[in-house]
Amino acid sequence: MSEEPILHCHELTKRFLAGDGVLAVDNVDLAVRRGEFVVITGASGSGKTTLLNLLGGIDRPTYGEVILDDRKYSRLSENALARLRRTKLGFVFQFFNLLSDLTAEENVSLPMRLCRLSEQAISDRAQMLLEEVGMLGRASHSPFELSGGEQQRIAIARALANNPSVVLADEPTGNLDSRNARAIIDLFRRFNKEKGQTFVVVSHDQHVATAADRVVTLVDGGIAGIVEGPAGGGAPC
Amino acid sequence: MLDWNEKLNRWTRRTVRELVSAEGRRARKEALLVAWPLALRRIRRDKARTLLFSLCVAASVCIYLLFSAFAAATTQRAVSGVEDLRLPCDILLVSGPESFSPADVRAVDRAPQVRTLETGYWFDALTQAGRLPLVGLKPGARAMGGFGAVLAGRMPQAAGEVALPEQVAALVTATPISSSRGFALGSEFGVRYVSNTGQMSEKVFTVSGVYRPVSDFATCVLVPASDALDITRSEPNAMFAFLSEGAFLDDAENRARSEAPGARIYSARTPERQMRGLVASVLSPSNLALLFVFCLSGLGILNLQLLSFLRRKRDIGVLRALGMDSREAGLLLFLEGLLLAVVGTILGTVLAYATTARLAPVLPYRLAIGTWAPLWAAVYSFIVFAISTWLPVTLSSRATVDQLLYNRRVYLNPNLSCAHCGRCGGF
Repeated sequence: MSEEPILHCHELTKRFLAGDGVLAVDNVDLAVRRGEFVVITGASGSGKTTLLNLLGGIDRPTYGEVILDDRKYSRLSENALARLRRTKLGFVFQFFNLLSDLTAEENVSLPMRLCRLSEQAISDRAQMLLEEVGMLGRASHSPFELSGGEQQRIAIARALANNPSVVLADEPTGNLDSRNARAIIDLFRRFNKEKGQTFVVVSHDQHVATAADRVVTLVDGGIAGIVEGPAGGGAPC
Repeated sequence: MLDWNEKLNRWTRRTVRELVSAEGRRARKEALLVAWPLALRRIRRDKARTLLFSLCVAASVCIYLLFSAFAAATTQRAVSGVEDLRLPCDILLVSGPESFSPADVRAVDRAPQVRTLETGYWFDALTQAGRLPLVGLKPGARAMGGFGAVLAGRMPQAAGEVALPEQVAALVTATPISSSRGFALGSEFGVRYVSNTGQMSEKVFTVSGVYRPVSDFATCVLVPASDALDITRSEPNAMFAFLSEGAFLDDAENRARSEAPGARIYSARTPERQMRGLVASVLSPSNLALLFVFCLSGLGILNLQLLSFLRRKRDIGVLRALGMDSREAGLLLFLEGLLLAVVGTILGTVLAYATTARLAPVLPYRLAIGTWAPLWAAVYSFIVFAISTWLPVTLSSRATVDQLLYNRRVYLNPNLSCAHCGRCGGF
């Protein structure tokens, strides 16, 4: 893990205008180092998902700045931000969000198609990723033919398709049983250790927190504490 | 704040630049390569929408083509029984009670399609048979020849004596020659006209002669010269035009219409045109009903497209989160709509031709789809497609990833003050 921050935010604030105005993220400063496995945890409504969306460029902050690989989000148009997400970021969602029209392999190939890679390169990398997540045998299956755990594996393969700088995962185990949840976290950890992939995971699953290098706790939109996780302290994965 | 004109100019410049630049072409091609397979997949998967959309367009196109074929056949049948109007000239222009100005007369006279132009008068004659339109001609007028030979009474002879042939399209049937359609020798009739002072006047004439041409086209009456003096001194309100060699009647009529915009224009084809107008007015309620059906089907298709978009907000959000830009997302919905509209149009056209071919042998008249009708049907499909696709495409382009992904309300105007006013409710 490098000391150099790959993703950092400065005075990040998000206020929703609904009703009297809800302060979802309040003045957050956070730096994620390259190759780090960060878990953001907190109670429901503490602003975890909003913070992750701001870090991923899915939502725009009311105030503050997010910088990924020296590129400031505030200076990017919506389409430029889309290109940045395409190449530098990978997303894993709680409800998998696989496209039901496409097979498992086509879902994994989609980010590469958006990057206009050649058909051969797309096919080779999709096969390789499916093999790594143990889903090669299910490549031609539609999402509705797969279990929750299997769908999440496909979603992880999709998130890693373009070899992004950072993978952002929003409650990746929130919809899985404990066995599948453990398998998914092990998969994250493996990619983190073997490939040096940076992960920012939002979860309130204790098992996920034990795998983290750092655990960031949010309370009412602000950072209440950052502790070195067991993995960050050198605990075996 | 930029005004709309400046915004439009910027948008036009940007669009043209994107359209013509090599980079823009490459970007469009790449976006098409990404969106096309996804659009095909969605069409195949979303069978209910595919079927409903295509059937809606196909039914509308088929109904339009069949209706236009029946309307054309009906008009043709109605017009085929109409005889040409026999006028004493090629084109008759009547300005009503007001007179033509000398400039109007000169303008019509100078038209290349017009060889000879004579002026005359058009009156409302109040006779025993009711109100009849009359034309007044000067003695020796060429138009007089159009009324044929004199069978009774006498032609105008003295200078200033005016002949007033009845200007009617209907044939005068066997009536006593001394009394035709209310004009009897020695009887009186009133004429309304604009006097020299510009006031509407009425003058009573005594019929000094009645004659009728061989063609039975019109009844003509003579009035004493002393009675006619007031009228001949007023400006003419009718023009009798004779066409140049090789000039087309339609061209000449159009020219006359443009030179004398307020005038009523009659030619041999006036009854046919009137019949066409009559048939069109009879068909117009059906046209309205057809338009209503089209609007309904358009709304149905818009509803389908909108529902499809709302159901897929999360999918589109996922695509946007994975890096698809707003243009590609819009293109995806655009391609889906376009494909379905094309399929529907082809289906509807084939269906209409097949129905026509099936019906033609059993109908007593010729039924055929017009040459341009399929083009109009395609234009209709395109309009329906454009309207029904515009809303979802605009919404998907303007929505933020966050709104799509988390199924939040999307607004047509991304401006915060619009999005949060809450009046329209969003989508």
